[in-house]
Amino acid sequence: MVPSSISAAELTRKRKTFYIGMYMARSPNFDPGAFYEVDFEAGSVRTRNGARVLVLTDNAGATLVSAAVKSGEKNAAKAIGSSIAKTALSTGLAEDASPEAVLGEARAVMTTFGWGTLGLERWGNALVATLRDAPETLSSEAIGAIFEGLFSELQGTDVGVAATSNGRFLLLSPEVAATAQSWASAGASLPAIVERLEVA
Amino acid sequence: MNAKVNKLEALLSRVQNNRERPILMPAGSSSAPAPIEPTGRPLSAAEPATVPAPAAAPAALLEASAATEPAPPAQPSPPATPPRRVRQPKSSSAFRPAASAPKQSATRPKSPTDEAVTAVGNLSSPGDAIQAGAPASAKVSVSRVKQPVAELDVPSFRALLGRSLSLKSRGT
Repeated sequence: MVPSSISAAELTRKRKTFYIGMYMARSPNFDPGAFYEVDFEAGSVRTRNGARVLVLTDNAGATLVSAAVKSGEKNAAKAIGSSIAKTALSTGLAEDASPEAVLGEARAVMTTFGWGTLGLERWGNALVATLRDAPETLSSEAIGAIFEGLFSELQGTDVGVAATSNGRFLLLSPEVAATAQSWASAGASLPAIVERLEVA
Repeated sequence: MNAKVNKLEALLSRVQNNRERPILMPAGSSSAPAPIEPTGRPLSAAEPATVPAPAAAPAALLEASAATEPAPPAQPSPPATPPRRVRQPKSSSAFRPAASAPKQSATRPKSPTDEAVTAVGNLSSPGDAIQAGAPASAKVSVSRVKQPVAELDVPSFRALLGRSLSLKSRGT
């Protein structure tokens, strides 16, 4: 059967069946038009889903989120990711939606909130997330926390994130992510980390 | 007749007296205050600082927003929690697919040749990453992409992420 969701090919490396694929965003259903509603009487801004939002400059918002994560408070960053995922899911993504379709919706929402351009890559059996053009003051730890909230909401289960040295974020179970993060902190590259992992 | 003339003269005299009466001016002001006149323009977002907010949503504001979206009916007092509006996607959005673009659930068959061409265009980032971890270049690897599409294993997003979440350290 021909898969219906292939937009990027994969390439093989070495004998370890090392596949890499980069998922390109498909045309999303998410419509950013009139996403924000400004209520001049109440002095508030809300999304069309009813959530009140604050409009901050990047060096204020990203700095605050990064500082919170650095101090051990990840809930705010995770809430950002979770909110993005909920909005993406509200576009009617199917249970068996392709990676490109999910990426398309999530990327569109994330862009509408101004956090940067979301990307997905496949490194062997591991799924890797990237964030291009993120706010300069947004730390790697904060991006990881946002991704934890985002992908946990999309998957419906806890997702851990390990930030690697090349600006990529491995999406793993929380326990394995902690281990992988320690490897990355010790200087292990992303391919080296992936090769230390196997399907349970 | 004379009585009417006298009455008219008296009335005229009273009007003249009123004209000569000074206009009430605020203390310390050397001239009469400038009259407040409507500008003839609708209220806009650029003028909230000079125009006091009315108790109800201004009609002019609603008209201004009507150019970009349908305005909700004006109400004297909004509810405590604003109603949620479910809006259908607009075709004017830059994110919207072309009219002929397939939906995400549509089957999108591709030939192996198409797949290989797509791969060449998408390999910039992963190709660089491979070079960082192994000597094999991206272009060499691209040649291996020319395989039947049916052999490629591309699951759903949930399955893909689920497999990533199932990874564990070797030997544990």
